[in-house]
Amino acid sequence: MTAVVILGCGIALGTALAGWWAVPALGVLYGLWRGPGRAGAAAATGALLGWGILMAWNWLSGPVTQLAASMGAVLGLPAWALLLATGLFPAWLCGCAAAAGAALRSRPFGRARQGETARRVRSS
Amino acid sequence: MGSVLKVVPGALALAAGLYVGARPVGPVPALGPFLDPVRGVWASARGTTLPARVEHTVPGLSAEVRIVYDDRRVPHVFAETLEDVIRGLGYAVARDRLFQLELQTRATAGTLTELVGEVALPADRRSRQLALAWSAERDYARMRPTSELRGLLGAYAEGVNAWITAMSPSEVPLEYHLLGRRPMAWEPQHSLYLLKRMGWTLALINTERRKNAAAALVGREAADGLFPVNAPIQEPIRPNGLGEPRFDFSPLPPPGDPTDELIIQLSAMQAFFGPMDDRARRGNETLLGSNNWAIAPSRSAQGHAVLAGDPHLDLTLPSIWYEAHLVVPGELDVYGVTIPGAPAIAIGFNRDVAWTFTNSGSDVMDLYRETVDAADHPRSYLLDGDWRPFEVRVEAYRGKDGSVLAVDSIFHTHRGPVSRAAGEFVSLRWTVLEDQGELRSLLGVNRAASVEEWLAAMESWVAPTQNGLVADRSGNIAIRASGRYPIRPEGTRGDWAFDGSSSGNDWQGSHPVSAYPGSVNPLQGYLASNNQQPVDPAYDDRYLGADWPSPWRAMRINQLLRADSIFTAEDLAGFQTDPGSPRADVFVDAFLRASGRIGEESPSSDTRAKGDTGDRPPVEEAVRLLAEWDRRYTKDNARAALFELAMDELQRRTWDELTDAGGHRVATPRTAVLAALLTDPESAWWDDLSTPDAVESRDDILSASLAAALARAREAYGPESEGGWVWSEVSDANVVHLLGINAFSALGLPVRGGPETLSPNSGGGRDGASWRMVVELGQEVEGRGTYPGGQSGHPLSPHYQDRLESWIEGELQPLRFPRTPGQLAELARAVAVLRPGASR
Repeated sequence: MTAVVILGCGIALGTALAGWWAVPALGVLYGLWRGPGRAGAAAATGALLGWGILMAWNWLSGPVTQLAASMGAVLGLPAWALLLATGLFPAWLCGCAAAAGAALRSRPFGRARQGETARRVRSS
Repeated sequence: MGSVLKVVPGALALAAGLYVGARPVGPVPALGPFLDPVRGVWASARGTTLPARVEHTVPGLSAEVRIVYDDRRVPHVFAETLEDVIRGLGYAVARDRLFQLELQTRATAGTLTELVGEVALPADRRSRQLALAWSAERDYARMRPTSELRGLLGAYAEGVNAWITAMSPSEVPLEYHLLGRRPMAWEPQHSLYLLKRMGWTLALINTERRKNAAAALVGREAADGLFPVNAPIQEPIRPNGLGEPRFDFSPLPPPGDPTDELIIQLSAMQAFFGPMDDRARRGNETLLGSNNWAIAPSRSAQGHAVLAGDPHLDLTLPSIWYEAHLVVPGELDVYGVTIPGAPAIAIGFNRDVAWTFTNSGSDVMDLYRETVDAADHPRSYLLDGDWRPFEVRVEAYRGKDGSVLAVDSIFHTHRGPVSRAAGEFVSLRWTVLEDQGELRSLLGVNRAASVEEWLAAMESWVAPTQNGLVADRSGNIAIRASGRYPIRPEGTRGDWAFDGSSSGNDWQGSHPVSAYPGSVNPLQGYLASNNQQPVDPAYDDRYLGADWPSPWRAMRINQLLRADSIFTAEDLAGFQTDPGSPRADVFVDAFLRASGRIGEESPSSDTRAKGDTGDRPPVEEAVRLLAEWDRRYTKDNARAALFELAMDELQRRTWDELTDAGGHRVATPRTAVLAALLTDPESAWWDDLSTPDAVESRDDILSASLAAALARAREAYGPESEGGWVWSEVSDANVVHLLGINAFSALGLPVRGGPETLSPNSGGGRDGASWRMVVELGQEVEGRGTYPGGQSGHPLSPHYQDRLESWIEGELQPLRFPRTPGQLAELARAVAVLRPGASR
């Protein structure tokens, strides 16, 4: 849980500093660090949290609902669809990136870890 | 292998996410930058209001510039030099209207494809064919590098670009997010593009096109009668001393035989300006209608001159106008509206004078049929027996990604750009494409201290020709039609294409300023213009043009100003939305007379009172309803709708000879011509071509039109007793976003006024009073004004359309005119301090 919160804060900060590309980049790093398991779901939650923080900041600073309605009308979508997309898009991106990162780790890093464990057993 | 397979689904899903994140899919922009909560569209929610104070550095400034925004978000720019104040203006305009600046510039330059994609290619091709940007670039290149004008254009660009550099993600206009683009840098010459664009808007006169289109169907002689050089009703801008309109009705020549000799001319106009839409075929007169009037101290309740102006244009959000106040102590103190991109105030007032414009439909454009050396690959054109090489421009059109979409070679003769039409080469001469002097004039009028100085400053004005009305604090009022009026070869008017092989057909120069139509301090104590013919041809028959709207608005304002001897500024403001209609006075009487003659009896007052419809024939019923009308286009009026349908039916039936094989009326003569036709009850034009066995007269057509109008009204709006005929339900105004986005537009606005009233509105309209202003030139100059929109270009800003309500109601707001920032006091809402230095 702590890792997800930290990831969320990292994504918020990363987006502020580097733009939306920070989302998949941090997702991959998270997957590599976390390894196989539920990295994708955790990363998706973290991304949702990160952009949620930023959206809350927008919400406090201006008429986000009105903006969503206007932009939705322009794109032929209901306002909620745009807001939903704003949550799902980073979640999807970060989740997929983390899953890919975790899968990568399961191979090269995984072998390295198995070898390391074997060495420890022999030395003991 | 198994591990690789584990990676693949995640990688594919990631790739799909990255794809929709980085690339637009259909109308949906690339999701990554679009949804990014910090830099994307959501950031715009944070930029709806101005921060209380910002400081930015602007390159080129000689000293600090302070921009104080008042409660109406009008920037008051205080600077120490003229160039600095213009830098401040560029900054302020860009801050509120950046997307508008770019869109206008690209529309003129023919580079819209780079912003919106291939869909804009036809419009871009036309813009480049017309050479608007090309001529602006040429004008700019001809300016001396050290000239004041060039310096000011550069200063304006520095101000715009300083804002582009300084703005935060939340201040990037929404439209850029939707289009997935970033703002382009502003070049000094882009301001000249804008002035050319104004020429395109106001000096593109379709009268000759309508006349040519009509001539193709009914012959030249008939077309000459339908589209006369002189308006059949004279209420000229320069007072003719009659104190009432002069009616000059002469019989119309009957329809003649079709001719195909005008195909080339029509094709050339289409190549240059695109096909005529229904609005252009109708002549725009029911829609467009700028007005201005001024009273001398002798007619003013306060004893000083008062000036009123309301230019009518396409209504857009954001508005074409931007209010600003520019102050350089001891040199400039001017308030008014500027067009985003123009480094000056276009319409407004300073401490001594106030001024405004209406468009003058002068003829400043001619076509020339050129003889070329080779039809397939021409390189030269014939002039006085010699072959002269074409000047050739190669124009490449680029898409959003920079790829080349198309390439055109555009030829020029010494007259102007050439288009290929119906197998022939036709060149265009147009004052809009010639040396511009408008900017010099505007800077002069901004600084003028008297009517005399103002008129002198306007001498360099070229295009579009304008009726400039000015009043000063000494009580002088004056009007003059300014612009370059070409002198054509003896005996010609340029309404048919000239033979281009002879230089003898070229313009012979232009009329001197002393010959421009105008008037200073007339005896009648007031001046007014409404786009009508400036001079009564009975007194001065020089040819200036033929695009004179029916003078119904001129008749109305003259009626109002002759009705009393003393007026207040409030009176003049009220006239701007006056619902009265001399057009209705003429035609309602005609309908009633004609139908009364045919009906067995006139409607009795008893039946009117009872509202009894009985089994009366449709004409009698329509007569009864029309007779109830007070001939005013008020919002709650329930009879104006019937009259307008009757007018539509009348024009359709009368001008059926002007309908082409496809069933479209190719051109509609002015309603003043129709009024003239009313005096000839047996004219051949009245005959209905759809009844070959009968010959209809005027009264037959008037009666049939009225009866048909009633049927249409009931079908379209329901029974007259159920409220569906209320004028504001039938006719509304629409202020449409620049990209046509409905969510950012103000649609279906209930307004007062109808076709050819002082505030014209014809239903579903997108035209109207783009700026209304009244200025009292007393000890202290006091201005009031409004426009349909607001200062901010941000659709969610509280100042995006905050003036709409006052505009709808015809109310004007006080314009703050402080001498120092401190005088704004509690009305100040935000401050921007611009400091000299390199932009960050």
